[in-house]
Amino acid sequence: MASCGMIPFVSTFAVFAAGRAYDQIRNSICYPKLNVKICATHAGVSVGEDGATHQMLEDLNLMRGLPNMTVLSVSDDIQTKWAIEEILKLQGPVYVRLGRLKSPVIYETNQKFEIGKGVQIGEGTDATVFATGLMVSEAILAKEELKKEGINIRVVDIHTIKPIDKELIIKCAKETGKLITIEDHSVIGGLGSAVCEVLCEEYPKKVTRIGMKDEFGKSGKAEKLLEYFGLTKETIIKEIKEG
Amino acid sequence: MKITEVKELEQIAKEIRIGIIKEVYSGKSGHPGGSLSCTDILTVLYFNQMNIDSAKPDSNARDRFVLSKGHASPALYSTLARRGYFEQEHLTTFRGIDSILQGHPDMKHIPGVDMSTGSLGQGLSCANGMAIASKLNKDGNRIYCLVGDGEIEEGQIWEAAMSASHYKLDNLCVIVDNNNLQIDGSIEEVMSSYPINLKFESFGFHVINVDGHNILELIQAFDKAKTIKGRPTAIIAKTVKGKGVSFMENQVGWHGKAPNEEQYHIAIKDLEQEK
Repeated sequence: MASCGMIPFVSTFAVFAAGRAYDQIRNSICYPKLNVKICATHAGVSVGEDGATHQMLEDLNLMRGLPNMTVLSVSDDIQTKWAIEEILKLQGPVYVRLGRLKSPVIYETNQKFEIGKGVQIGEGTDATVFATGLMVSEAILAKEELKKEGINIRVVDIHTIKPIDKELIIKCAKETGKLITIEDHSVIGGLGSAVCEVLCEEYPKKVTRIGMKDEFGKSGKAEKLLEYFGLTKETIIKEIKEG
Repeated sequence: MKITEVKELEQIAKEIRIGIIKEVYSGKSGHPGGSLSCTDILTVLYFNQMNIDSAKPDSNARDRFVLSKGHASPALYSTLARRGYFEQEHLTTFRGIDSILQGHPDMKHIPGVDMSTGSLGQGLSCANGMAIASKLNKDGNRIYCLVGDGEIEEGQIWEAAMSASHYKLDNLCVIVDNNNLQIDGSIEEVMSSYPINLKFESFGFHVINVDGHNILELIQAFDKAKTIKGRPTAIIAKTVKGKGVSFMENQVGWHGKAPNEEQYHIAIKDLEQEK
């Protein structure tokens, strides 16, 4: 349909969208640079009870590696609405990663976003937490708690995994102490890897990656699972204070 | 341009076959067997059936062709060159580093290629999308998709067949190049896709069986397909792998191999002498 000038929006669970259809996305969408928008839902361990078979933890890795593909991973309702409207204007394949959980609203309705530009939240210089998707609100909670103890950090919402905001990542690495990444995704190949790729070439510095540690998820309530796998504000706080 | 004379179409097919051999010989790589088997089908489509204009390869309402068995790219390229989409000189650059003619069809860089293909099993799904778009846009054009008899062992083909029938895509025509051989041997030995006609029939297609080297039969089958309403058509074309080249015919070894110099001259001679 895209080859006939239409803009197909396709949506299914991320595990099927990026996993099962990888070859089709690679050869029939990205290679011919067709204008197809893949809106993948139910990403991450936060899918909950369905368990490992349905919890996609490698999609950013798979989609990021594809030439011509733009990869978004949005953090709240406002950003999702922006993203869906914005990708309509973009010519070429796009993958949008969406979660299943109800997520707190972070932004005001008039917040401006730009594809490829991260959103810096706060000016703290003790640490930067680069977060994406559901983990942005968790990082903001960590930031607020640390503030009470006199530790000032900033959160960077990386809603565009590719092309990634190199400039902002380098700027934060120069301006702040510790660097942390957090994602409801494997630490292999996702946000953490993307940030490390930028820094090791441009401004080498230690980065701590929080995410799924090369393992599958399991069944359980989403909140319990996030806790079980350490995808929480507590882990961020611990890493900043002790790491 | 619509050529109706069978003799003239046969002559064009012969020229396209010579082009195929030149491509594969020049590139020292490629798939001659399955290209030679589908040449007559492509000839009838591009010179008798399809509503296309080589000067306007991107026009919206054109008929479209998806070469799902993308490794038969030499046949498609030779056909497109003969039809005027690009100069014949490109054929001898096939698979080279500076060539537009990629190993498998690339719609971004080759005029006349309607869909990039190469990973087998996906082309019919793409053709479905085109057929649906055509209906939504009320373009009134037809979509053709050529699949291999080995390729249809892929599961995605049958998902697509089910979907084509579900959406009543009567503007879609699938052609099976039934040359009976795939890379590792005969279809029966490797993974039988037979009975092909009954499979497509049970998936809701109107099925026509033809001799895939008989120009007249092919024309009649495509004409008939245009009259079928409410369901897609599948034309099962019985073909000979390596058709027209004595030492390649029905030889599995010529699935994906280029001829050496001596073989090249024999092949050209065979084709030039073919009636």
